Amino acid sequence: MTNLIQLTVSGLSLGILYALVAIGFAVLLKATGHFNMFPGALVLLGAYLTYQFHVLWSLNFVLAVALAAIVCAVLGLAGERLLFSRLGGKGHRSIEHLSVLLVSLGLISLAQAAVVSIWGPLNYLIEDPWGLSLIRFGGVAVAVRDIWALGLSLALLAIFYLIIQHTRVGVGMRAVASDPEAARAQGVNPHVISATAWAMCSAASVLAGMMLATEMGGGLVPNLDQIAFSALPALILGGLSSLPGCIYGGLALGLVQTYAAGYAPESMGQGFASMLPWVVMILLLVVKPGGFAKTLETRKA
Amino acid sequence: MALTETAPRLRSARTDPSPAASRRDDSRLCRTRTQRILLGVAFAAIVAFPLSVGNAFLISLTGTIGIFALAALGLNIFSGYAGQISLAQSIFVGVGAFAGVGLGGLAELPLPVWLPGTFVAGGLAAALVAPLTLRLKGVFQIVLSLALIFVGHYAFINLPALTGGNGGISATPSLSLGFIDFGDLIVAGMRYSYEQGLFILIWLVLAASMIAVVNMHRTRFGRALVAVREAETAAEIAGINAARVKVLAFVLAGAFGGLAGGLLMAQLRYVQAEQFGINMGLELLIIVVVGGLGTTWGPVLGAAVISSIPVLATQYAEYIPFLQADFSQDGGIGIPVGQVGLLIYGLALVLVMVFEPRGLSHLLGAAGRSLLRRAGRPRTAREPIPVPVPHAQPKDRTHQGDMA
Amino acid sequence: MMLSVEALTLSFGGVRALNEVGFQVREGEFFGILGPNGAGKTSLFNCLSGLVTPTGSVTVEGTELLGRRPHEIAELGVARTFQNLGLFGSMSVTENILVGGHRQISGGALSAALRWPRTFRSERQARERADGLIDLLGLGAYRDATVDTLPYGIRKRVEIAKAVASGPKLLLLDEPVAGMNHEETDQFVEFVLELKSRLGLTIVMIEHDVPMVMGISDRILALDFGEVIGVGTPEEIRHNQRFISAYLGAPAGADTTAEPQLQGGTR
Repeated sequence: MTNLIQLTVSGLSLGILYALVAIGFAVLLKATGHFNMFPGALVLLGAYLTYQFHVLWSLNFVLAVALAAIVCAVLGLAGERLLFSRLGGKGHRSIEHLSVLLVSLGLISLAQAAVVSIWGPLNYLIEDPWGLSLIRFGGVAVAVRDIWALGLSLALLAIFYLIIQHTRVGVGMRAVASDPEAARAQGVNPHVISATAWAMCSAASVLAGMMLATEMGGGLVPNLDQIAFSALPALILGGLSSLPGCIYGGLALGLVQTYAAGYAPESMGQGFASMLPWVVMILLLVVKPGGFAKTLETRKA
Repeated sequence: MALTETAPRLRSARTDPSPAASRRDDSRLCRTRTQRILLGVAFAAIVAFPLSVGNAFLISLTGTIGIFALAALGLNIFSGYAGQISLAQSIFVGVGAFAGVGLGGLAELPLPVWLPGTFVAGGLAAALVAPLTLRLKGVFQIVLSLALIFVGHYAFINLPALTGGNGGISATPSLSLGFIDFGDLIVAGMRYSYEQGLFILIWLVLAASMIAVVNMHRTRFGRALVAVREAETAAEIAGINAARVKVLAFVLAGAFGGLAGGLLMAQLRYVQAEQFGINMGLELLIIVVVGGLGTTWGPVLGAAVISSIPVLATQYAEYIPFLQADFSQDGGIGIPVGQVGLLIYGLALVLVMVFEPRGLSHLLGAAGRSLLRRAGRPRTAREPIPVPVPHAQPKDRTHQGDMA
Repeated sequence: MMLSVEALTLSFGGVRALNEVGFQVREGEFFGILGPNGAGKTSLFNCLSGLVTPTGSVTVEGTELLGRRPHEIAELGVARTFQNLGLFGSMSVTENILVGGHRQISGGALSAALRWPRTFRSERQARERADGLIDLLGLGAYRDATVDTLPYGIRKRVEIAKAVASGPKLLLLDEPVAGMNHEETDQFVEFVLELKSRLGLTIVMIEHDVPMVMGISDRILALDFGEVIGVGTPEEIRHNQRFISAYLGAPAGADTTAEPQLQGGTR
């Protein structure tokens, strides 16, 4: 029984991280209507920048993370203004929908090359305050990091919820998500919206990246962005543009993966646990193709 | 906005149709004599080039370009002509590679059996998955193709007999076709290397595949693909079964990917599951986009640029500033040679998408056409013909004449 | 009977777009459909094209249409134009027409790849048929032009050429003269009647232009709020009380500009 509880706890902890990553993607999707993979790069850069600020420049940990988030927000916004907003309407009509995706994938490649160029291919420790410390409840161990991760994620989500539901910017964001032209006609300022969206995305992504790069998470590695992509099923499971959905989806994803790792028999082969969430996602997509994406329904494929 | 130009009556007199050679929709492979000659030259070059060049590095590089161009050719059918997104082409390359291991390496079947077998294997694998791709659009397609990569990878590492599991597997398939052995070519008393002979095989297969694809593109199926991409509903109303067309496009993509995988396996003679993941998938997508989505030469141009630059950079690292052969600990300025590939991919993708989304094919085509124009050659019908605007002068009934 | 519609009912989440619509179209007829905006005319066409799933029955020469996919309906010899022009912008005029002729060309991907002689012969024949249509509709000057670059009027003609390229028996025209002036509309009437007789078509046409429809149709269906308010010859419809009130509104709000329209006729 304790095994089940332990697995559940581990699964939820993993799930929270997935949820954080998914929130980064979801915010952008909500605000711009395009699927942008760039948050994956922000996860990567956020972790490395935290390393740079905290370990190499000896800044306070919290300050380092905050700075990293700010830098990433600026990078995201720069990308938006200089690149993403120039796409669409140019050249071959049929690849408009591909454009944002491809540019973001290109930027991710650049980010990965940059990271290895600047910091090197080795694994580092970001010297987070939690290290490997655990708290034990009965026979179950919970990492202190995970408790903080849960708390911070919920706090972040609460702040996002407030922004989206109760501020003018948030209302504008929702308006742009459902009908960009009408929103613009109503005087919604797209620059403010995108700045806010990138700030939110960056906050979630950097937090996620930092958490993934903690000692508990395996340290700082150059393929954090690919780990970030593993969170995408969470985005689908939770319903594409729903922020609370990201939490449910992420938790579900973490649980599925951890249970699979814990209970799957040998005969299922290697790598079953990390593959299973994708199968679950495929099944879900087959059963309910695009069924969650209310805001994306009208967007051409 | 008169419906008819000269008179309300429908004209029954036949106007002289444009000579077939300059019709934009002509479905013949070579529309002009020049093109026919060039085609012959190309085939001759495919044979002559490797036999006259001794540089092993160059032969190997151009062989790789051919292989990636073939895989990209397949992806181009699905992503270019049909306008669908797939990051998972690498999985089909992997399927082909491992099918080649099984058929050509383990079962030791002859070339005319195992190589087409890789084509079929890729196609079958794609057919399995194709219904999924139908129902999903946009975001979901991307996520689905990522899912395919993960599931495919899982399948690969759990079939160790065929794939060597995580470690990979080696195989030496037969390359003999009748009295020609591509792996051990003897021409006029001269013995050529495995790579040299393989080059010929690769590029012959690529050429044949390109011809097949061009044939498809210029006929009913190709038009149906483009129609479905542009306006699916209108295409359906016109009688096109959109689902079937899309599935066929995906199956063809998988099939050509598989074929490329078979040739890759022949080239490397050692393959492992890890090669066929998101990195290759991304590289192939970038090749297709940079080369020009939905163009004939896009896959080749894209492969030439994207596959070669990282390899060239590695080879000539000492001559290029900012490049380091080794990473230096102090984090100083310099790009480790291993990262050059990623750097190139990223830059190429971003620059192409922002400045010329139609890719190199269009860039070069436009440049070529403007050069030809300056040389005084007549315009080919490849460009859209500027249209007179009769409705601007409703009283002017002069017939503008055929512009074709 | 070319087209037979019975008890056609279509609802979208609470809104009843079509309610028990029924009518018949004889072979060789020119059948007009009239009705104010929102009357359900386009919904009716969407039912005939297989784009929506209503209840009821629609048969073309005895074969049931409902439940079939659009491309299957095209196979039965039904063609349609769109109000917004369902053209393939990046392709040339000829290519658009060739797509229209899709069902008449034989040969799939594999036979094309291998340059099967039969396939290429079929392609050549398709091109000749397309050339014929291009001449018939006066599109010779635009044969190779990219459709996106062409003016609206020419694109309308391409739309019609594309629709008849499939060799249909039944042609559905969706507001073909929208945006045309009086002179152009007259020309269109002449043109479409000749096309009809040359190709042996049965035509069903949705239009707003009441005098035009009155002038060209053998029989007319009048719709309002998704219901049939009258079927009959133009003369009968002209005197149909429900039709008059649908077009003129409530008796007190008689629209004087509409009245002369009902009396006019361009035959």
